[in-house]
Amino acid sequence: MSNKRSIKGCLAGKILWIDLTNNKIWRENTEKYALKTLGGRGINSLIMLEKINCNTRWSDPENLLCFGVGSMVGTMAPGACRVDISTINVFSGGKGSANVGGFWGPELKYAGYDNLIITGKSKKPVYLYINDEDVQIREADNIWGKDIFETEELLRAEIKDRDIKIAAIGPAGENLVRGSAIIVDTAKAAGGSGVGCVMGDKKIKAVVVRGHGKINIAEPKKFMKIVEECNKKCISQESTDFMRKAPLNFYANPEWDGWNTNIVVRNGQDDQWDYEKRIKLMNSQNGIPSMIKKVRACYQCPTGCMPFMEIRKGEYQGTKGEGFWINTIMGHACRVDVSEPEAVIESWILTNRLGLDGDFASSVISWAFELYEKGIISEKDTDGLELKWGDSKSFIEMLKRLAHRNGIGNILAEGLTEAAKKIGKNSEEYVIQVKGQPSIEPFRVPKAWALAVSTSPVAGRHLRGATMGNLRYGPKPRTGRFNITDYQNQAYGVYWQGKTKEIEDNLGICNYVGTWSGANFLDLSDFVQLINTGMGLNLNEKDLMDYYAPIGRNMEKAFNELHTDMTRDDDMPPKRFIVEEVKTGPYKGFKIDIKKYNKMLDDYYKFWEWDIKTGKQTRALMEKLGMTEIANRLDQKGKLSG
Amino acid sequence: MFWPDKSSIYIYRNPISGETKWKIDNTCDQCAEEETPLCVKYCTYRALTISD
Repeated sequence: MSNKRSIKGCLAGKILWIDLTNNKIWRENTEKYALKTLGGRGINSLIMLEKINCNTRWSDPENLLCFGVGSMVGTMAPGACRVDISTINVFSGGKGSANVGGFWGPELKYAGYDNLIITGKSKKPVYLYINDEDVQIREADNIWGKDIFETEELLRAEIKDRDIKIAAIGPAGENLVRGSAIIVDTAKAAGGSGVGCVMGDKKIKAVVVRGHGKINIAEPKKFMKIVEECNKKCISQESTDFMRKAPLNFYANPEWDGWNTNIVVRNGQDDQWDYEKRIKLMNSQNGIPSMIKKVRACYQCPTGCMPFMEIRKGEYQGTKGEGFWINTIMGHACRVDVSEPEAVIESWILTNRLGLDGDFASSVISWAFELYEKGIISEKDTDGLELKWGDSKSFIEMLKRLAHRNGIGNILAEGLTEAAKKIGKNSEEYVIQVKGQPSIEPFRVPKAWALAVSTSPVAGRHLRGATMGNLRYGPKPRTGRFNITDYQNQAYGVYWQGKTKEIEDNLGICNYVGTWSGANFLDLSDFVQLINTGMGLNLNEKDLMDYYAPIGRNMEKAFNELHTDMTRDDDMPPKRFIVEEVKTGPYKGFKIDIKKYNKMLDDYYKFWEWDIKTGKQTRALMEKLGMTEIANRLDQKGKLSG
Repeated sequence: MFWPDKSSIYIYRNPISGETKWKIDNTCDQCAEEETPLCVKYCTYRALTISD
């Protein structure tokens, strides 16, 4: 561990606090938090642990909504654009976190702030205006009720500065739909954990940022040399060229195995989507790839992965926007069996405009489709709407009803646990969620993916260690074929990938240029050099992996322990994937073997040094990480192992 | 240090229309003291090049 205990660069230097209840604004130095965590999500987690009382619920004014910009963001480090948004998870009651790219994060750094922490609750709709030192809580009556695109345009017209960056909620967040997103730059969604719902509950329509300041670097020449090498590394990859020219085109090949391993169809009834539908949706002549107008990149991204779509014919002609990605295919196509490319794009852009979390929306709506198929609900429950698989118009209408809480949308808006209670009739049998959060992820075929999604501290999403495909995980040298259907030896990969993601989120470096994108993109040795030359610290890879990464994960786990009654059972996959097999295709017969999964989970707990039986943290581990005070709190609540 | 506000290059992106506009103002001396303009050298996306 470093004996240098001051940070000389990369940080903006301040944490901005806004108390909406008491109309107060203040600032705090970032450094002491960054020294413990390196920045970004780590700072958010630390502040939440220190400041949020165990009895606080997501809708209490005392809940915090924390925006944490990674420590490298605002510099020229490749992919350094990411922002973590943390709060109490509206689904699990534990730690909530969603991560987003774009240009908002760098702008907040240039305004002088590494983190923005919002407490309290406004009585009336407001938006926050941050222009360097000038921080205002402004009335938002004219934008409340507007969708994301309208909000963006109205704010730009009002503020008359076209360089402002906006993070906003749509009608979904205003209406406290549990799965609401915070949308940045109109298309980049911080989707999970219900962060948009919390923002709506605090009556914040948008956070508008403009910054004119600078970011200092400890050793500028050395830092830029590392940046240059990192850029070269990223740009020289074949996959970078592929992403720039034809993102999503791997799906254009209907034979691609990802169609068989990574897709969940009709709310989990199968993991195999019809061959003809794959071609119809993704063919390069008139499918989705043909509607990509350009590819856009986030701040400082050498890759660029975000297709800007435009529908040029048919009833949705004229719809355009960015943000379409793999989860769109998984959620807005396969999950509801919709294969018309224009309808899938339309539904996705509508999802963003409404400020819905796409995974949540497709999860709860596909569940309703299945209930309709099974006769558990009927047209009486849907105000005449037929919820038939593949009916794109019904799907699009359901998105609107969900966001505006109309009819059955009002039931679904509460999330699947509450909706199943309300509907009854055994409807809970078809619920697919992890730790209370609906999930569209695959479980039955890719076993490491299943483990990562099931154990994610922020519930049912894949960006906390999911590994997939050859060479896409683990420390170097990465050799040998990684068989995604195996249970053996997967736990270490998930553990390793989860730890590197902790570091990436604290630095704010997108994992598409990091460890998730394969052996030849940025890795720990690059991160160490960027940290040491940029922040002026003296760290090594061991410091990152044995200290900062475990601290990050253990803070979130401790938050879950202190705020919920989660047990080992909450780290299990959804029941459907344990009892129902894949029905068709090359992986027919696959399901989760619970004995083998449990062995994988044992190994995973061992790597993290958690108690195997209970999954709980131990005092020895917490003291080793310098988290004695948190260990004491856990002990007082009987949440420490032994 | 990184200080985009002082940059000679201005880029505007409209995320709704997909439009991107850029301009270089007259404060740009093409980094006269450098071998290569720094914006070209460090352009992350390799979008900037020098042409005759």
